[in-house]
Order: sequence, then structure tokens, then C-alpha cells
Amino acid sequence: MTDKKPVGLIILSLVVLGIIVFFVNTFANSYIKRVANLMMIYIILAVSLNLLTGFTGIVSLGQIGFMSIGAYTSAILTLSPRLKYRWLIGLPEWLQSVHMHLFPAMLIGGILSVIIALGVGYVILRLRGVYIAVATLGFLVIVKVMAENWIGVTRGGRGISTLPGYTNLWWTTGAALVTIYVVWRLVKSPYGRKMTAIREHDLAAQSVGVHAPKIRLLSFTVSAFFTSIAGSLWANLIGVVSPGSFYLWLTLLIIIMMVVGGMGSITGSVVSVIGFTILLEWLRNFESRVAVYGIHYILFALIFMLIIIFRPQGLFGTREISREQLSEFMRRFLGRGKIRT
Amino acid sequence: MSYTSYLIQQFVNALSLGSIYALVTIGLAMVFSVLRLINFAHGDLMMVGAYGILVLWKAGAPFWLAIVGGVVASGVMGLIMERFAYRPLRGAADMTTLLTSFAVVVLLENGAILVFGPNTRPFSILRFSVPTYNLNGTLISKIDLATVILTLCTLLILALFIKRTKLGISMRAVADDLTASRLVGIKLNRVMVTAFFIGSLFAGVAGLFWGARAGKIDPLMGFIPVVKAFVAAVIGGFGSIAGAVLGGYVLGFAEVLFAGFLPPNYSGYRDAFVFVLLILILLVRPQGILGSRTRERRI
Repeated sequence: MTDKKPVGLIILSLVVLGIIVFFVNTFANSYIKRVANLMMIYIILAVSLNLLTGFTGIVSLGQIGFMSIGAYTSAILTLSPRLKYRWLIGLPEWLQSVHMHLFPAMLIGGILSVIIALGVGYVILRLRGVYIAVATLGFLVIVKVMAENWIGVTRGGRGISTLPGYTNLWWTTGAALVTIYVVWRLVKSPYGRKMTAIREHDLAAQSVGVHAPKIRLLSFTVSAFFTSIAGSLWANLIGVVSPGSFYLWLTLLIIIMMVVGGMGSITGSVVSVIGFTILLEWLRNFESRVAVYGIHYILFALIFMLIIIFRPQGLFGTREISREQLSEFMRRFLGRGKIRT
Repeated sequence: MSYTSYLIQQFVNALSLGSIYALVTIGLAMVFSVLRLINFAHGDLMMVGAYGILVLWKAGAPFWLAIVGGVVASGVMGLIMERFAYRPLRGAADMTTLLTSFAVVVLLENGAILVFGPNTRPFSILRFSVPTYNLNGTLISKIDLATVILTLCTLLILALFIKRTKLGISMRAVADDLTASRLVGIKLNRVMVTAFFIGSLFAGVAGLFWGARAGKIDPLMGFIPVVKAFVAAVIGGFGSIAGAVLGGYVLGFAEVLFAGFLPPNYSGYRDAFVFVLLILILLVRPQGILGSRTRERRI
């Protein structure tokens, strides 16, 4: 890393990304658009989980619970009041008449998740290792059970449907970029170093003056905020939120993407999400072609196991893709200049 | 029906539910204490056992042979799992092995759906001709009784095995200190395979009782019990076998209590209450009821 920031390069890549987003968002068919949007949402989820698990070393199985909170909050806030009067009879009067656009709903969902994360994290983060995993799984189950049973507010198992569908590729890409930027800056800041210290050795970190509970809570809360944003985007992308959407399969999927990318590598997560989203779509198409239902899960699990057996640390470990590596790779790939020593 | 007999019935019910949880949790705890692996696929071994029993029974095998065959099938599946999914990952990060076990869950459940179909099958092998005993108006289901008694017998055998046999003692040694037990010449592989095999057999037995209790089985039947067993193991103190039994029974009683005392329109929240209880217990004792602080550090 050089000290001088490559401003030109960053602007150039943002412009290129913008052009790609513009073309996909305007000309691609709805299937491609949906996959691209999902990819961005998964990037948000995987990167924010990486902050918690990869950099701080907290194994959480419950982050998708925050996604559920974000999705339901923004679903309730963006649903048209006419339907709210009919379906969500448990809501207070002023909430029933509210009709918001995506952005404020997203922020409110995020703030709500932060508040809940502060409370839940304060309780749960006192535990260690496996115990945190179980307790966070408990949080996930509690959120799901609430979504199923609090019918006046969540419409129970039928879910809230016919959402306006505000989400488009600009929103998701923007949110993904913000997430990556914030997590990147956080990880490179003194807070990030403290997180890594806690991951490597809790006791040693505390003995040199790291206030571990505070840092863990910070990591948990930031992760919960972005996870919740992803939930809001998801709700208005798919158009339906139901309790089953935010449960074990999604939890598993995001953790797999994060682990394969490398715990502690943000760029690794991004690359892995892109790869896995495409792979998953390809497997689904394959499944409908051979008409053996469920085969895509099996193949997906097998592929994951093979990758993890041969690279237990994930594709990138804790390394990031740097500009130098990238340019060297490009040079080698294009066959110009023999760098090999 | 008097209040006392209602209480007795609920007590037996809780005891039988707790027994099943204890059986599942023991397997989970044994594998964890020896391999440091949280095996989420443990519940699917129950499913394998139950389907094994059903297939053998439908094929015309006698009652006892079907049960033994099914339980052994689940043990063999456990061995296969250990060999191909977990052995290559020995020494990897906790998260990696945990995830691999999730992948095995996906593999086994969808495999079972492909082989047996997604539908629920009736499971009536333990339905005796008279389903209940009637003691002065107190109805006690024979399945519950069989569950409790057979569980106690298996627990006794397990205790003898662990305390008295050489393999059992080496198993405890490995759980206590892996490096030291290796230094004194304990064959690690043999111990790990044994722990996995015994744990899987227990899962098979639990699958039999779980299926008999519900009267039906399906390819996804293993997931809820394994999550519950996970909770039970944490309540008791992860890795401790006595803790596993205790946690299983605590969970069984807690569930029956919640079911009995919650108002009907809150009964949907039962699982949420179970986890709230778990978190409360962990707040008081972060290492579980019987877990020790020193061991917890190493996990």
C-alpha cells in the first residue's frame, strides 16, 4: 500500500461500475437484474458478517435475525396504508397511516436493529465461543417465532406481500459500496486493530488495555446495522417478507460465502459472493434441466466441502487483494511482461 | 381426571421427552469432547436410524432386528461422516468444521428427500396393541414408559463403558487433554472413531423414540431435535456427558412446563421461551451448569 491515495483510479473504477450498473439496470431482463441485486445484498451481508466473525472472532449464527428485523421494519413502513389497515391491525394508528420511501425506512430499520443489537449484544457477548454461537442461534429462533406469531404486526406465516419494490441496482450497489467502505475504514482504524487483537487472544488484548466488551459490542452493532440495511433492500426487491425467508438456509449461505472468501478478507468475501451467487444460479438452472429436485443443494454442499477440505483457511485467508497483485495478475494474464522470478 | 393424575401424566411426558433429548445430547457432547467438533448433522443420524428401521420393518424383518439394524445403520452413517467430512478437517478453525457439519446436514436431508421422497411416513413400530396403562385414572403411554426405561438402561451401559473399559478411559483422557493423551500412547484415531460410532448409535436410538413419539417421520425430522440438543448441551455445560444428560432433562421439563402453563394463544412462542430460558441460564452460569471454567477456555 502506498501512502498516496490513487484518487484517479478510484474515480475511474467508480465510473466504470456506474456505467455497468446503468446498463444492467436499464437494459437487462428482470432475471439478470434480480440476480445482480441479490449479489449486492449478499455482499453487504457477507462483508458485515466478516467484520464480526472474521475480524473480531465472534461466531454468530443469528445475524440474519437482524436482516429479518430490517426487512419487516421497512416492509411495514413502505407498504401502502390501504393494505396496512386491512392486514396489520395490531399496528398503532399513526404507524398504519405512514407511507415512506425506501431510504428513510431503511435508516429506521437500521436504527432499530442497532438498538436491539446493543441490548442483545450486551447480554450475549459476555459468553464465549460455542456458547455465543448457540445464544445467537437462539436470537434467530426468537426473531422467527415472533415474526410467525405476532400476527397483528407481521401478518404471521402468510407474510407481508405486494411491497412497492423500490429497490433497484443503484440502491443495492450504493449500499454495498458504503458497507465495504465503512467496514474497510473500521478495520484499518485503531478499533479494527483492537478487534483483531481480541480475535487472536482475548486475554492478551485485555492485558494491554483493550476494552474488549466495548469493542465486541461495537463490531456486533455495526454488523447488525448493515445486515438490517440488507434486509430492507431485500424486502423491497423480492416484494414479500415472510418468517421463513430469514432463517437457516440464508444464515448458512452467507456464512459459507464468508468462510470460503476467507475470514478476515473483505475482498475475499466480495469475490466469493460473486462466485457463489453465479454458481448457485447455475446449479438452479441445472436442477430444473435435469428435473431432480433438491440436487442443487446437494451439489452446493459438496462443492463447499471440497473447497474447504483443500483450503481450510478460505480462498484468500486473511489477505486482501491489493492493487499491485491485481495489476501483476492482469499482466500475467494478458501475457505481457514476464514477471516470474 | 384429577389434578394429581394430570401432574403425573405431565411428569412422565416430560421424563420421556427429556430422555430423548438426553440421548441426542450425549452423542453431540461425546463427539464434541473428543473431536472439538459441533456436529449439526447429528440430528440427521436420527433420521437415518428411523428410516433404517422403517425400511427393514417394511421389508418384513422381525421387530427387534429392524430396530437393531436401523440403529446400526445410523452408526455406520456416523462413521462415513467422520471419515469423509470431518477427518480431512482435523485441526481446522471452529467455524470451518461447524459449517462443514451444516453442509453435511444439507447433503443428508436432501439426499433423504431424493431417496425416500419429501412426504411424511407413518412410524408405528413401537405402537403396542394397548397404547396406555390406566392406573386409577392416570393414563401413562407405553411409548413414554419404554422410552424412559430404555434410556436409563443405555445410560447405565454407557456409564459402565466410560468408567470401566480401556477404550472408555482413553476417551475420557482424550477429552481431558488431547496432547497429553497422545504422549502416553493413546491411539487417537481409534478413540475418535469410537466416540463418533457410539454417539451415532445413541442418535439412532433417539430417532426410534422420536419417531415413535410423533408417530411419523420425515427427512427433515432431525433438525429440531439437534438444535434442542445443542441447547441442552449448552445448558448442561458443553462437552460434559453428565451435563448432557442433565441438560436434556432440564430442557424436557422446561418444554412440558411451557406447554402446560402458557396460555393457548401464546403456545406458538414456546421455542422462543426455551431460548430465553437458555440465555438466562447462561447469564448466571456462562459455562453451563456442569461446565468448568478451565475447560471452557480451551474451546
